[in-house]
Amino acid sequence: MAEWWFMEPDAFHAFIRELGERFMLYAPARRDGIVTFTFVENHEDVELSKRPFTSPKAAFLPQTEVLLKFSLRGERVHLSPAQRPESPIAVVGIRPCEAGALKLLDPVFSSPPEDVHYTLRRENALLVGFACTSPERWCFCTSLGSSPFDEDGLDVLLVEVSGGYCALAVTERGRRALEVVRDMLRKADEALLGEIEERRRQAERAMKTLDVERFIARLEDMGDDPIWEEIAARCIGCGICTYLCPTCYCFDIQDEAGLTSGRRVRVWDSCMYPEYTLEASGHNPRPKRVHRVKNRIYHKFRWYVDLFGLVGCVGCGRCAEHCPVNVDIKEIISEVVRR
Amino acid sequence: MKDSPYLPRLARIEEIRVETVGRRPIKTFRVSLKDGGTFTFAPGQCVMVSVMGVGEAIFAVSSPPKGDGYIEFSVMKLGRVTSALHRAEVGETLGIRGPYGRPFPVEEWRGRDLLIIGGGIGAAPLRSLIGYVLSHREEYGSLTVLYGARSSRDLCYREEMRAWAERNDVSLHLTIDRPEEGWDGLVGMVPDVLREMKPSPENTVAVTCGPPIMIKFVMEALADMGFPPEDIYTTLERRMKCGIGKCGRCNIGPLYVCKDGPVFSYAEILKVSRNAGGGGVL
Ligand SMILES: Cc1cc2nc3c(=O)[nH]c(=O)nc-3n(C[C@H](O)[C@H](O)[C@H](O)COP(=O)(O)OP(=O)(O)OC[C@H]3O[C@@H](n4cnc5c(N)ncnc54)[C@H](O)[C@@H]3O)c2cc1C
Ligand code: SF4
Ligand code: SF4
Ligand code: FES
Repeated sequence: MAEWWFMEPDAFHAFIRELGERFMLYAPARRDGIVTFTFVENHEDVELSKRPFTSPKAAFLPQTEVLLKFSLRGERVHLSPAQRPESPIAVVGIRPCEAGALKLLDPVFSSPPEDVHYTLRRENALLVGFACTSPERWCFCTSLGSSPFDEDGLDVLLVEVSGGYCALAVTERGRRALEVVRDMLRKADEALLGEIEERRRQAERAMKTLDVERFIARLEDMGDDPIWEEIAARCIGCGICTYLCPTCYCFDIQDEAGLTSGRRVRVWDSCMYPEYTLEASGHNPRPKRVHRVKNRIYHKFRWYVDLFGLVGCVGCGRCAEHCPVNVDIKEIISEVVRR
Repeated sequence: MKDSPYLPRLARIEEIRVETVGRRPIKTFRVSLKDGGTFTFAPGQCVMVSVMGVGEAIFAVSSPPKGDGYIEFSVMKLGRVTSALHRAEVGETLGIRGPYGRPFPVEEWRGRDLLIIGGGIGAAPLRSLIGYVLSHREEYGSLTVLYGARSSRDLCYREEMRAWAERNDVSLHLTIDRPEEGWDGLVGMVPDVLREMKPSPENTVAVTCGPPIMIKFVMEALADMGFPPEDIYTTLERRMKCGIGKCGRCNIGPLYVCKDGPVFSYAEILKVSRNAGGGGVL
């Protein structure tokens, strides 16, 4: 049986301080008043209580990253590949659904030809998860095969309990990471195990359940349903849903250049923008917002399934939480199922 | 250590030929790899070409595979990268990634008659295909080429067309949209001319490439004339950035044009059209 270890807040801080010695720490921290995932220098900045505004996907697929540098001297061009990460990344405070989202990005970037920019960061990373004891009202991860205490994809799972945290080593990597602060841990007793169980039950009960399987099946012949026009009529095409979604990964590649040198960068992009598919000839295969709204939903719920046998949404609800016009994925699912 | 799939190989521009002039001129570039290596590709495949500091754009390889160190691609001047290429001179250095995509299934087509229908810059991948067929001539039946452009000045590869016209194993039909003084070819839009030609679908594979609207009408015309959808092929265009199925933008439903295409059969297109999430495939 898996073993839970209790750590007091001191031990927790010692743990992430130690992690900071060997890894680049990527964790929720307050920046400009908002709790967001970011690289943290000082382990005391880590703030686990609130679910961060952003997902941690940027640790592996940064919003902007250099793919290569070049120098130009007359007709001589010299290319230098991007820098490799110096030390591996430890994501602390990643939620179970977000770890699930990384498992959806993996097949995209690791299928040949391998995208080493992503895979190198990902392969050496340590994921220290944080169980959701009080899910947001947007959450529906249990409808997508996950749950607020899901260990899958994590190396360590932390649960907040009275007086501190309980930690579970999910993988051998996770066990070794905890080993460093072994002296400060004590085995969780019956009372603590009972508390973890109770919190798990409460969190799962709080979650709304949707019939995603039926939704996916219904999409087959819903291509021409007026529902897409109805959503498109409200959507303002801001792209927030895609930037904040932990499973969205579309990107653009651009050159930034001075007179004698420059770099080729990859930046996040969004399928919600018309320019995303606009061809240089002026032709656009997805000219209308309704095409783009539909593409987003069908990509996640049908084509991901066709391609990888996985649903491309983890039910984090971020897209609904932050949509300025309240386009709510949960409503879309229940409405399509109802029609 | 594994290499980045985005790292291009450096190539030298060996030769530049002006194909057409006007508002949207076309030039053909012949390049060689600076590392001395060879290009291995098949007709229908594409290369991602970069002008360092400006960016990347994808082009069909327009020369037939020869297994040597050279390839050609033809560029219509439209935006940033294509304009930078049009300013480039012989001797300059470009970046090349690829080849990418699924080529024409030329081996499957052995023993069949070929009907090749192109419009404008869409002739680029078809030129590679025709070159391939001509160097494996005995493996294929008859070869009919219908190529059209707005005006006679907008026809690409005129030297080669002239040479093909003189061969007795190629039947070449050139058409322009409106009559012109001194023009002895056909007049009319490609799909209309095609319907008048009434080609037989018997043991024939039809291949078309050109502007999306032309492709649509040509495929419909072919289907009307009894060509089964499995025997109609085209190469599709989508805006592309990565070229390797990662960046997401070139999808038609679950298919990525950059890696599952750009060559598709009409049967495949009809199948994916349902719920393709766009304003249609073409
Ligand atoms: C599989 C495939 C094969 C191809 N083969 C060939 C080929 O053989 N030959 C060929 O010539 N082309 C080919 N193309 C098309 C070619 O890739 C594009 O023409 C090229 O990428 C354009 O690049 P650019 O940098 O010049 O244009 P960009 O400057 O990047 O323009 C790109 C986009 O920006 C938009 N844009 C630019 N300026 C503005 C503005 N001011 N306002 C709004 N929008 C703007 C354009 O409409 C366009 O959508 C092919 C494309 C594909 C997908
Ligand atoms: S709920 Fe929305 S933001 Fe979260 S994974 Fe699904 S689509 Fe993305
Ligand atoms: S966040 Fe809402 S308004 Fe913005 S693009 Fe997404 S669905 Fe449309
Ligand atoms: S061009 Fe990026 S996925 Fe096809």
